Amino acid sequence: MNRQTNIKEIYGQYAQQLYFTALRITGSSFDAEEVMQDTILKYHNFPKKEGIEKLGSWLKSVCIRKALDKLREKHRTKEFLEEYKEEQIPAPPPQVQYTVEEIRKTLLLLPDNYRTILSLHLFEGYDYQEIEQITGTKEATIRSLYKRAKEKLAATILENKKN
Amino acid sequence: MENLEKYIQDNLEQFNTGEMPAGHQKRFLAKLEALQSQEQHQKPKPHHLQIRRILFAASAAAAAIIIALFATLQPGNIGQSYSIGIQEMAQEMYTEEAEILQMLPKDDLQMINSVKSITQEAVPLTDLLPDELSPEKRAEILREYYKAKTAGLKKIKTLYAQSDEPID
Repeated sequence: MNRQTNIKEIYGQYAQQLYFTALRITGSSFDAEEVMQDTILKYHNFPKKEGIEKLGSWLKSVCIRKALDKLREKHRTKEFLEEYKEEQIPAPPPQVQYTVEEIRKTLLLLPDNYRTILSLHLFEGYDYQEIEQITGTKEATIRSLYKRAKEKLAATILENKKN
Repeated sequence: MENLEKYIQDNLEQFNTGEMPAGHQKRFLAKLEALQSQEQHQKPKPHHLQIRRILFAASAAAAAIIIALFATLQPGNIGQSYSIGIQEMAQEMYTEEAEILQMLPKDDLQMINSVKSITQEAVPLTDLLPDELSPEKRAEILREYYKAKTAGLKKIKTLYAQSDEPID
């Protein structure tokens, strides 16, 4: 398999997953596509491919870092996860029913920090310590943000259902 | 709340599937081609590829530019007196962008991304400027750059505010 074929196959296999991972963090389809493609191109140019044990995990990790970089550039601060931490959010009733599409759309409406924390913890499965390492935000702040982000997501879905 | 968390975890696969932006594969192959052609230092690049790269640089804007701008504004690069007003102009551009984004329907992703693409760029303008330019000239170009983008955004905002219909 030559290099060109290989990268096209990798694109076919991972593009979609990386795109949606990036989309959940950046909140922008334009940025998500760029992050996803740059991630695969980074692999294409990576000199020590034999050192990569699990390609899927390596790509996901690069993609997440690139997506976070994109957000940091946008916010011009490394501490963007600190924003909104004092916001009061009413808790929705527990009987609310959800759909994938509803959640997907509502995620894009959330503030960047909430979307990011939900993406990393709930969707990508990183624990709080790993998120602290990735974002440089303190674990206690991450815990509190995650709770608020979840509440905000649920409250926004409920609000949209009412409208 | 646990209900929501559980629902997402139970349906995780579905969140990673769906429709991707039209033409994404073509754009990737063009980037790949550009990268390979750059690597190999081969014959002059095809005209369409050069245009694509210029368009990419011009349309993928803001994120990197602001960082580059701060670097450029360091004393000895542009010079304090020449840099006056540039930061404010950049801020004005982002304010216009934010105001338009607030006006747009939240689900109009196409329009939202179009507006964002005006301010965002992958290659900072300062990286595209020749090194031999004087600090005054660099500052002048940056001012014109922000002025043009802000004017464009203002125009979009006015058009959108005047119209009941979404902008095509």
